[in-house]
Amino acid sequence: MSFLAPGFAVFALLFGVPIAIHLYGRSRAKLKKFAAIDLLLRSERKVARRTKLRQLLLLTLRALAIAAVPLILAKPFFEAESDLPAVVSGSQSAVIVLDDSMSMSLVGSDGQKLLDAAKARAKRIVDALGADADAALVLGSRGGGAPVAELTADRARLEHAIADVKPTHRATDLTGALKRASQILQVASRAERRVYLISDLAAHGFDRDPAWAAGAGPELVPVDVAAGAPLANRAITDLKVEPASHLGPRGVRITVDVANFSDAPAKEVPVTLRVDGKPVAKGLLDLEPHQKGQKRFFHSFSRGEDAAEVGVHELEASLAPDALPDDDKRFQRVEVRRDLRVLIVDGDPRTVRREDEAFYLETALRPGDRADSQLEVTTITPDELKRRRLADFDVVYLCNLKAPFDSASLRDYVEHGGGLFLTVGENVDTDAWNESLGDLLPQPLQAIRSVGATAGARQDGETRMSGDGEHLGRIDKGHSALAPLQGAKHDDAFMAARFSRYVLLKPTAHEDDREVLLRFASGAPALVDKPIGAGRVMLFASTIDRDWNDLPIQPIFLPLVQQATRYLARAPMHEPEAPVSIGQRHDIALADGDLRIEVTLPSGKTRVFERDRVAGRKLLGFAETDEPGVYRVAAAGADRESPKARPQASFVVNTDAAESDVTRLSPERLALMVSGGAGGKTARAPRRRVELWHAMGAALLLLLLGEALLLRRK
Amino acid sequence: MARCSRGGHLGDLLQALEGLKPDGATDLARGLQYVSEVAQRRSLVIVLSDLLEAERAGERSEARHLLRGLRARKHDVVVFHVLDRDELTLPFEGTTVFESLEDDRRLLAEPADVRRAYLAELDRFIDGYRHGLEEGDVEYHLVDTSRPPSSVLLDFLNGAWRNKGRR
Repeated sequence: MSFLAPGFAVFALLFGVPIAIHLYGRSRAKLKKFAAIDLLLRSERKVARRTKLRQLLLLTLRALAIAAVPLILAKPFFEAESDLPAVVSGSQSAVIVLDDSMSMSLVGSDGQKLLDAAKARAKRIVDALGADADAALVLGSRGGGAPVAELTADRARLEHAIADVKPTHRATDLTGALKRASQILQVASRAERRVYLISDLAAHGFDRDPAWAAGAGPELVPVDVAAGAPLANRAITDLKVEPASHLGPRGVRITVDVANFSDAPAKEVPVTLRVDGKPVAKGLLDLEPHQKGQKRFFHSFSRGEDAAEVGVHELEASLAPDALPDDDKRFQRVEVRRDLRVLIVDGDPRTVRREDEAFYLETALRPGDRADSQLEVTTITPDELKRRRLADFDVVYLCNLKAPFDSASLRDYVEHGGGLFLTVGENVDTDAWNESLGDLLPQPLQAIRSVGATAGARQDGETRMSGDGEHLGRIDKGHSALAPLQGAKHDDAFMAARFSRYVLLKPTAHEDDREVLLRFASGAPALVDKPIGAGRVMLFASTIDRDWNDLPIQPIFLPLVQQATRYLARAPMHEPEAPVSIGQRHDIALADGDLRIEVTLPSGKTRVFERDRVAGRKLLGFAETDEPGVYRVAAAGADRESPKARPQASFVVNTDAAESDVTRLSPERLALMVSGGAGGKTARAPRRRVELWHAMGAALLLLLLGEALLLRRK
Repeated sequence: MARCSRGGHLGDLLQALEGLKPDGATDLARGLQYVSEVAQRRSLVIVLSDLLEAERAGERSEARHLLRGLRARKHDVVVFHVLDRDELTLPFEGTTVFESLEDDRRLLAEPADVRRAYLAELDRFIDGYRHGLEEGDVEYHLVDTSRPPSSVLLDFLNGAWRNKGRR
């Protein structure tokens, strides 16, 4: 034991004062003649043992208390072997790379978070740095930055920066951090340049290639905060949602991937599925060491009170919290579309169902007449059209109708977002159509063209084709309506259809207005799309039944009309949006008229984007995705209007699954990295000072308290 | 001093009492036995003692027995248990050497440490005499020496003694 102020320690000899006073007091005792000596002797015999013990204790307490005061003033301490790197005390330029990634939130066997241990170690390194040393601080998480980006000898600044480091959910990028440290050290004035890497040294944090070439970088000094102990963690690494058709249109299959990143097996790990915050299913999973497993759940979303609305649901799969609870949850977002309402105006109704103009279309839109097709189909005759409100439907099919049309109603419907699909046939008079529909037509009609084979005689109630007819020639696979139908299988299906007759379209000067999705082999447009106002019009240049072609009996017909219907209704089938990763920027789609956007983070904090960031834009970039969970979006269309929730725009952010794997970097790789730097001269191993005066101060208080209690019990 | 009924005997008695010097060890039992032998007629027997030596020598029961015997023989027996104020309260502070008045026994003690135990012992001692004598119809008075003798005598004359006379 040593003292910072040894002069005071001499006064510890004063501990003998109470003993001397005690002895002197006995020799100076007063003499008293006392008649009742018998009673006194008998009393003294009863209390003698207790009294002597108390007096001895009192004497000891007083002696210790008197000795403690000068000892405290002398500031005693002792030095212990330090677990800091030996090189830390020498003259050097150093960069401390402090790993603040999610895996550092793991709670070690000592009940302390690895990050807290790392911060304590970093502070001690700063304390132990030699007087002639400067240092910088770089964080080891992706996008973590450098709190002290230049070399400084200001220890207080470094220590403040270390104290300010907070746990994050970000992924590790130690190679990136080491590269940055190396750049900082390029301007170092000291001959010895070192990087102290304080981390759990999990393998996921390092790229395959080292941060610097062998011998070309600074000396790397790894500091393992877990002290080599194996780390254990369980995590949900993926959450997939797929349609489960056997459960109906709102049925989904949810697959939860769970991994056991530890050396011990995990038995009966509970996996809980929550939908919109409520637990709906629970399952158990057995996992061998370092093995992954899957748990599948099936769920059917309810139709909801307002079936016309798009339903957005939040899914959360979770495990019981373990040493690293941040990755025990994973989130997903599911949109359950409402049923689309389709109106078919049958221009050639027949009593025989198969000969009806709308038979194949209706069947394709409602396959098997199933209630779960998500399409609500209404078929009417042209006479009934006047009595119908078009705005009640998402898509209107006009199949082989005779002109004239109520073009004003149709235009109003389309301009306000409706989808119109026009098909031709024997009832079509091209000139009358052009005159009545005008620029509602994507392209004016020119003439009906018969190609080689014509419709044969009706036999057995079915129209049969004779001759080869004409095939489709080109398919615009880049068009969003046909994008889901890509692939050789679909190409062959398109090419299998034969057309005996179709309507040629007039050339148009406004090529930019319309898009040709399908063309015949001759190059003539077969399916044309044109946006008008907020809606769209599609024109199919042949019949929607089998009078002019055999497309309706081809396998491609059903997906084609389904896809076209969803496209016109602006409800295309699509895969669930991929969740955003922590730290990744997400673009929030804005609507026309949005003036203010509020984003509520999983923690409940709100970020507000005002008019200058929102007005007139299609997308709003949101980069503050530092928390895992569901981010809810609300929008306002006026300055003073309170924002309304916009569930369609909400999104989820998940942690990087790789961050959950706490498998350590192999000793061979670590040795390779360490040997890659230029080694420095090792100074004397630093020693750790353990100060005792605080503990002694506390002990003194206890001594005084003990003495007071003993005196009180007299 | 032998009993006598002549007029000047009271003066001789008081003179003898005045001339008494405390000396030697107490032997209360012997004194009581003597009284028992010489007191043939009904008499008033007054005992003034601290009773402490009887306590030490284990003679408490014998002295008490003799006193009760005197009372049984129709003598009027009155015991004045005389104790010093210091003996009743043990008021001392600081380390003290207590020394016996009648022999060479000594005790070094902190009065504060033994006070509670001593007072409890004293209470037991006084209560033992008080109850033992009162059961034998012997009149008992605890006398604090700090009180004036006249005050003690007045209490005695105005109290139990007068009541007894009425009986």
